[in-house]
Amino acid sequence: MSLTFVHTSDWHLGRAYQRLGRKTSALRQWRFDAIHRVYDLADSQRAAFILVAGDVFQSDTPRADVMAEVLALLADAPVPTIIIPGNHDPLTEGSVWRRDEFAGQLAGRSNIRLALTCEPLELDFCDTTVFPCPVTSNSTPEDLSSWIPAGTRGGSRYRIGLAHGRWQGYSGEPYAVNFIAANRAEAAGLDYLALGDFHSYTLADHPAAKARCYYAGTSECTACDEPRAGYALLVQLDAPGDEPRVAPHRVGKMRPMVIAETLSPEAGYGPLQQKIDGLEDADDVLLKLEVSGALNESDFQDFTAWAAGLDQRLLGVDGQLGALYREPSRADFDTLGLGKAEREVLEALQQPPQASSATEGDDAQVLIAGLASRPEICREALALYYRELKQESQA
Amino acid sequence: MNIVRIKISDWRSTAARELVLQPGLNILRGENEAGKSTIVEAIQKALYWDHTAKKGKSNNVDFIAPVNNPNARPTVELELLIGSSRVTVTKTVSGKKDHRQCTLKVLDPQGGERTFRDAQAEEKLRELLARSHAMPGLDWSEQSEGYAYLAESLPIAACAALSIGKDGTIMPSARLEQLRKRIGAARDEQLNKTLKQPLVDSAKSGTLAYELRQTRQQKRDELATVKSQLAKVDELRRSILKLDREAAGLGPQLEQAKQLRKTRQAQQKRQKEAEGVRAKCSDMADACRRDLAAAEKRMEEIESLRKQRDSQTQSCDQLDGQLKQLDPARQAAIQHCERIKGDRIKAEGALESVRRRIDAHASRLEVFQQTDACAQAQQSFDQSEALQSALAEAEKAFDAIGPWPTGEDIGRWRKAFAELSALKRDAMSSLQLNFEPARPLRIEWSADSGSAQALTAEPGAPATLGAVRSLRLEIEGVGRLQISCGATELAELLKTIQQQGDSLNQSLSAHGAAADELPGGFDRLEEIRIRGEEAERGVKEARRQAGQAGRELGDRDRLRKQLKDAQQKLTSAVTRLEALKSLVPEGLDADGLRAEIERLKDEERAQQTIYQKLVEGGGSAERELAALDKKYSLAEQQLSQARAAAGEASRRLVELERDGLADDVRRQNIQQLRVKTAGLESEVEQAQQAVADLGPAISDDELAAQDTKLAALDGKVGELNLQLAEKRAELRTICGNDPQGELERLEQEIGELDARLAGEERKLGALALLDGVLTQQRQSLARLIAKPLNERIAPWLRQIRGLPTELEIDADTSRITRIITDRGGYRDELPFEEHSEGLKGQVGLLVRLTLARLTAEQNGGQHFVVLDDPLTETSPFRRPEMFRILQQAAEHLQILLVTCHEDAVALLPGHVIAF
Repeated sequence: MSLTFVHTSDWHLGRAYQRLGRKTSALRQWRFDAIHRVYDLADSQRAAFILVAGDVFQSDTPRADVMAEVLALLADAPVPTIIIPGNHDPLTEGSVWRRDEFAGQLAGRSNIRLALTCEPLELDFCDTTVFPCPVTSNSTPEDLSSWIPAGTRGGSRYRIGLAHGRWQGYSGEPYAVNFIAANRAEAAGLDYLALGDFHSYTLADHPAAKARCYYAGTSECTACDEPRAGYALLVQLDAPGDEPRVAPHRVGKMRPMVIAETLSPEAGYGPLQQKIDGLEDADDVLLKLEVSGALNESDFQDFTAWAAGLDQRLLGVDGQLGALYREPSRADFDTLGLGKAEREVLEALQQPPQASSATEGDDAQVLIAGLASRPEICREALALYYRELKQESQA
Repeated sequence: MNIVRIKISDWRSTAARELVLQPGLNILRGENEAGKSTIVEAIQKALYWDHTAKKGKSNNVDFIAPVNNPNARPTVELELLIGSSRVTVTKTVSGKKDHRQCTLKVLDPQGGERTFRDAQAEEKLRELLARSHAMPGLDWSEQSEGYAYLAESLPIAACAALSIGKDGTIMPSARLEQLRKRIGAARDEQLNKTLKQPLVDSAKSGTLAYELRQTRQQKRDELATVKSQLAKVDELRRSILKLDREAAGLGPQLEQAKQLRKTRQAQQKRQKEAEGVRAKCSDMADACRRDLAAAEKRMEEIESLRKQRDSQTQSCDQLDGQLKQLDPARQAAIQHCERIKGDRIKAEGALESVRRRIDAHASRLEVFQQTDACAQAQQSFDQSEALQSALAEAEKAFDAIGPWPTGEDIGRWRKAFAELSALKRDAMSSLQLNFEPARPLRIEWSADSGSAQALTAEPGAPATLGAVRSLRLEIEGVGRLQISCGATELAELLKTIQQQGDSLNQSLSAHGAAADELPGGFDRLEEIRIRGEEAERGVKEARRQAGQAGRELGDRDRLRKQLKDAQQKLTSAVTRLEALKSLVPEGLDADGLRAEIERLKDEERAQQTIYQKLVEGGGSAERELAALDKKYSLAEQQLSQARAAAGEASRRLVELERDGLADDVRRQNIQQLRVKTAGLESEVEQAQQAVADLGPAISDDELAAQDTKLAALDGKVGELNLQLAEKRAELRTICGNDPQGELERLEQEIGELDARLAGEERKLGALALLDGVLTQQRQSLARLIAKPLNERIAPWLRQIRGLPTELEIDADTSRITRIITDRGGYRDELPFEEHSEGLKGQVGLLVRLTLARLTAEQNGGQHFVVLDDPLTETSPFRRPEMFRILQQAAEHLQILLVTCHEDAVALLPGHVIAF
């Protein structure tokens, strides 16, 4: 008998998008909407069950209203849904998993299985054994999946792991905490290891995928730098031991995007503007805009005004403009007809004295040297100088 | 750069004017308000007014249009020679934006002409002016500035501009100085209003940064609270974990303790059971031992009894022999005793006979005596009885009389009665008088007492009384006085009689009885009285006699008793005599009897002696017999005992041997019992060993102690669970506020506030840096220009003052601090501001001319300076020298001197333009 199920994780329900201001409440709802699309996927694909690989909640101590909403959400689950706590909502004392208002309310529901202990869950209706690995702390220096007993694939039952943590070496770096052994699926003879924690789903050519370990990613994007967020995985197995067929299905609405550009006064910000203005369905785009470099005075002002207006057109903008400076060019200064003294001031701002050279001077010199040693202040001062000179000239 | 030509139209009050300037000195001369300054203004606007700049206070040109033609378009056309190029700038200077315009034509030496318009023209113009080092501050002085002269260029390394303020401050450039001032102000504002924490800690006076910091501090405080909550959560979680572990650790202990207790309990039970087994075995062994002992004892007893029976039987035979030996002696003794006893009985009979005869005689004598005594007693008694009888008679007579009235009483009664009778009569009379009684009343004494007696009327009584009423007058103790009358109204009368009767009654009450005895009236009463007194006397006499007889004879009871005793004794003596009567011959009187008695007593004594001897002999024989009897009895007793013992032994043996067992069988049984006992003892030992093997006995106390430990452990587990519940409840309360989410939110907000604050601080840093650099620049320039300025200006100052003069310039403050004058023996070092206005103006002009000249030298050409009446404060004596200096300067500069003073025209050789 073949097996089809849905793998999802990192719902982060109750997460507040405070930086998005007016859209906060709408986005909060989006996260719930995404779960309903997960349900739709399971329903339409006749999935046997849904695996939720941790971080259902943003916090292990959500407010009462969030708990109530999640209870209502879980009530709609169309198929048996197996949930483990993740590092955001670990199974700690006082956590949501131990509270009557939540866990107590789920006790009588047959469609929700809170897997709070490390023991196999036998799903006889689909000849499947699930090995859940609940997270008990937000930082665990051990592999919580290590309890899964060794086994071999291809028996009479499907062996499915459910864990939350970092697949060792997933991004090339070793992890010291919250890790999952890279050979876990192999060692435990798992047909599939459903993972949660990373917010982008695992691509098929990733070493983890080859080891039958997949991240489903978050069901709804939480940050701009999550390229494959907003998906749930539909997993199909023809028989125990067979290779799983894994297909991502979009369930989230938000489209994360990161644009990093280095601007120059000469080139201006026109190309960047075109790129962003050309985005389709901009309302769903959560943009992380990392802009560095410099613009001339007028461009800078225009750009910052334009960037501020982006928030109205896109879903949200995480504008990292701190590394962008308004920088009057030499030509800008030339138009002011600088006298020699003024040029010397300009040079002093462009090539400030080294701090060490002024340590023995008077207080003013030390102060200036100290300030001049900070490039951001020099850039700011230069822009200020230009602006003031221009204003003075126009006066 | 030189100004070649200037042309204005619709400029203030000037409709149109064109001036052509020449190199060197140009003098624009005219009266006040002739429009000279208008020309200066037009040059300034043409060069430096930016028609594209936003309209503001500093570039307001509304007032330039003629008052009578506000829609006019004031225009200036200025032709300049910059290097070898001829540049014409035309600007329409209007307050109306649409009217403003700028055109720039550049004609290069090769004949090429370029025209620029509007913004491009402005930009090109600025470029050209910069290239020629034209500076607004250098190019002209305004009329109202007096001695504030500007210089823009220096030929030295600084090659920058300077200005000298009213306070003597040298500035690197007017623009830089303005900028520096604004930057300083902005910095101060940023520092004071934006970043510096206010002295007064109030929300309203808070700067932006202060507010940000305050907000940030609040957020940090909130964060600290949340962190503390999270720390508390961690702590609680740790506590719960610890408690949980502790409780979990105690769980096995508790189970262990429970198990131990159960084990101990079971062990105790087993021990008790083993002990029971041991006790049972022990009891059985004891029983067996007892059986054995009994069997052994029985055997021993049988044997002993047999011996005893045999021994006693033997003793019986011996004693029987002894008895047989004793018997003959004993029989002889018995016979001896019997003989003596016969003799003694006989003697006793003789003695008894004598005694009876004595007694008979004595009895006859006694009868005699008692008969006399009896007669005497009877006599006394009879006498006494007679007296008593007489007394009784007297008393009876006395009693019969009863009480009697005294003579006095009777007299009084008589009187009373007479009075009563009189009253009655009065009453009768009254009745007859008033009621005419039909018949007379009858008064009658009645001796009866009790109920009233109705008296009937006599026949023949007057019938006038229709109804007879009877009245009864009772005189208690006396009798009744019946009064019958015919009228009820007699009641009143009778009432009176009653009253008197009552009184009489009282008198008679004590003598009622006597009165009763006097039916015959007062005579009877008198009789009674006499009889009474006689009886009284009789009684007294009888009493006296009776009393006397009593005293003499005793009272009646004693006499009666004496008589009775005497009679009894007599009876007794007669009775005794009856039995002995035969022994006494008749006819003996008392004396004869007494003599016979004496004789018989002698006989009695003889017989007594005989008897005494026989008694003594009999006693000895009896004692002997008694000794033999005692011996025989002892032997008999011993024999009896022996027989009893033998019998008892035999009986006991019969009992013991009732089982009918042979001795061998009994011994066999005993042996079996011994074996059984040994076996049971072995079992007891085994049971004891089993008990010992179970270890030391577990006492109830020990089990109780175990229970206590268990309870303590259980209590501790309970307490831990209670603490756990409390901690969990607390944790649950804290976690209900989502501290983790709150932490993330606050950290984000604080991060944003930090960024804003950093931005503000960066802004301040930029302001401070720029301010510092500008200040340094000014100081640097001041230091650089001090020497060359003095070198150039010193000859001119000496020329006008006649004394070596030097300017002291403070590099730090960029100010001309003092003017130092060498007055031949001493140096006059007066602060700049303390000098006269004239000198200060002259110094300013000289500095400006010097700098302009040096700038021109630097550029290899000429430079123009516009001076709007610069020497107004200069005295007429010094003005010629100043004109000469101007003339010298004009050799290298184009100067446009605007003045209303004629002396300039007279003294200065230059191109004069008259207004």
